[in-house]
Amino acid sequence: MGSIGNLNDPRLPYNYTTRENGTVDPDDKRARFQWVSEVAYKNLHRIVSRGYDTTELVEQGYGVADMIFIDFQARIPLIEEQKMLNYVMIMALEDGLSAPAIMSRIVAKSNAILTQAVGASILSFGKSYSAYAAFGNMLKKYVDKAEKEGKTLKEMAEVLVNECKNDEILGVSDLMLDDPAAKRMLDRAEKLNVAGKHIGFMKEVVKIAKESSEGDVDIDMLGAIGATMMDLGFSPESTWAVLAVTRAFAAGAHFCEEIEREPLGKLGQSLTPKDYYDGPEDRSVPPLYESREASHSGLCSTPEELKENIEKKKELKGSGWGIEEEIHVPKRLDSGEK
Amino acid sequence: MVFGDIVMKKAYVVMGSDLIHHGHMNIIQEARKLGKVIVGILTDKAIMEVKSIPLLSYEQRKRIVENIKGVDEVVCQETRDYRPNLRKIKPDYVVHGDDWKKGPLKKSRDEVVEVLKEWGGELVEVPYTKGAPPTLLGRAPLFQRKTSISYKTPEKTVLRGYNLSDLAEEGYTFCDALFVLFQGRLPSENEEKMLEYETAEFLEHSMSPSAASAIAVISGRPDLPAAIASSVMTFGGAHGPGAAHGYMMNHYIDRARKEGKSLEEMGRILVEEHVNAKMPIMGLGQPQHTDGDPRAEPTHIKQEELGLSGVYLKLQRSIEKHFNEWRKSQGKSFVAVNMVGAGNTALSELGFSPNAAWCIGCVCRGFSCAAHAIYTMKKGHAWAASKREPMVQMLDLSMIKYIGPEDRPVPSQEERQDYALKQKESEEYKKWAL
Repeated sequence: MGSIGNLNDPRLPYNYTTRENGTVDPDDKRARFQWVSEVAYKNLHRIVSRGYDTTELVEQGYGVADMIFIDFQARIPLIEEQKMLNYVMIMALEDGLSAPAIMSRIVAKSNAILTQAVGASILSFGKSYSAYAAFGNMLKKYVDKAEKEGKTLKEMAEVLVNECKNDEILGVSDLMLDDPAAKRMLDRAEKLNVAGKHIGFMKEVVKIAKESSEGDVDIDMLGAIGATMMDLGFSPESTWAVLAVTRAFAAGAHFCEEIEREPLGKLGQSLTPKDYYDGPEDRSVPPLYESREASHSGLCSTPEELKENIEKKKELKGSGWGIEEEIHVPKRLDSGEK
Repeated sequence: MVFGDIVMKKAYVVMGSDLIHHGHMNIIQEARKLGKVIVGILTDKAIMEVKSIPLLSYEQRKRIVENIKGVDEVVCQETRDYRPNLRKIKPDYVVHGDDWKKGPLKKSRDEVVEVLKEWGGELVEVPYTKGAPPTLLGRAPLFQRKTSISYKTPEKTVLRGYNLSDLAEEGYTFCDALFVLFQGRLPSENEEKMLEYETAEFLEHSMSPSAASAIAVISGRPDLPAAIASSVMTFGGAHGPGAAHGYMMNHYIDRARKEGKSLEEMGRILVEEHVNAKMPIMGLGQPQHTDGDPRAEPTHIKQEELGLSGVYLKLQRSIEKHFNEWRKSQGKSFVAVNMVGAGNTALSELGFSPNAAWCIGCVCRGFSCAAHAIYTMKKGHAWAASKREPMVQMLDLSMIKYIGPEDRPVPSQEERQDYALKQKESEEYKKWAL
């Protein structure tokens, strides 16, 4: 067989043309693939979560909040803990025309099915909106640090506020100054005797933040829910998951209402007026051969050239060059739990 | 401005004016009482310092405001900072709503108060107009819709008329809130119990398409919501088709009404029509629990125990009876009801629409799929293809069974046109084309 492209280049670390074709034989040296889980199993007759038969659980009167504890924490909650989770889930259910609701409605307009819309709503949970994993990991880091360094929660709260004062995931902001809901949640946790070190720590953070802030601030729903869930024993990632799913129920209602009340969108019906456009002016398309000849390559030969090139490219919005900080995607759980 | 011997005082008002409402009119009317009204319109750039692009351009907004009764002059304000314009105009008064005494606009207020002292100007604050849309920095609506589901203000979040915090404080459960969300009402005690039963049993089903999807997606280590979203999105025509079952039930119940038939009879008709059309009947059979889904019949029984059996359960029971009678007549084995047949029947009986019931069923599953994804992150390797693992992984190379076209040489660019023509004419590719 003759050479194909560069596949005979001596710089290749292998001889491409003599490498074998065909699929890999089944591996009979190792155990065959199975879905390994510590969470649940099922057989012909039973579904078992963390050792408990789920039909027996529901027949015994356990409900959805109990099941969430069982699946995520492998334990049956105290009645007070179950009540507190119900409380949190009610508060997390709906947030008006928020990002998840809007996502669901936008997908609904394409005449997509409900599950597509509801799934899309879950995708709107990130590191700014409902950033429960990011908040929880921040809280955990400082609470752990307090224990390790033998500091009081008050002392560590000062450290946190100094270091994270302007962070939008602090859990303290001006969002709930007129809405008592966040404070009521913490009071309820105290009354149910489920408040622990995370709520205690957040209260100290709020005190310090109030003293050091220019404007009025108080605990917000991120702070209240995040701290409460961690005192109920949920990890930051589990908290994020439970709340994203909880909101998805309401996204379903928004899907339904969008279809019931609004016309479906049609391809090509959305216009973007030129008034909203601030890109390059209209320009004619050069003949292909001309542009190939005249086009300047984007190649940079030195770091300085690259820097200059990037600074220019930042001006073109939508190129992505303006996103300077990498959006962190963890390869492992940020909470580091094993 | 001088009129005769009278020097008219100047009142300065700043507006974005992308959305003009009665709150703005109140401010302009109050400013009129004080003197000549000069409105500073924020440029597009000034608005976009903290919000998204305005709907109307600066010129369009200027034209609207110029024509508002009571406005004497319109000027351009190029930034959110009032001070440059104030120093230029030196108004006797700045008129603003009192909503900027706290929050993100407090800094602007403090700056205005300071700069007015330079010439003895005065800040006049008009009480925030009730019902005016919030335009505080970052709190303006992202998207606008008429909705009967909820509203949210700085003071509260209200779901179908109920303050969410009051619902929670009163000790209602999440299941109560689901009734409020989808039906605008609080349920009876037994209805709440039935929904608790169902949501708890929908939640976990070990390895199903939804769990497999969550585990597969998280193997690439995207953020967790991607895996959870994918799990919910696996629910469709074959996996948990709750809405379709609900629509089928509603259709046949309505036929019973129109045709004056009993539900028992309509169940028989449904089975007959499906069998004759060779269509599967939703709600029956489960590929894993071949002798009966352990959750399903107990759900029917619980529904009856709680006194919640109505038109849906009657029809569903009739379908099961007649379907298995037919199967017996064909020498086939018994097929039990599945969780769509049982769970969706109960949800329909509780008053949930087909789509609402489907939402409840598939979203509940999202909880457990999230747990599966988190477990996989904790204990599994990314990519799920590692040869170092003692067990063959999901994406190990040896898991690939290829049954497509045999290996074949790639034609050169010179050969391609003839090659492509022959390939197209032979039509052999069609047996693989998707």
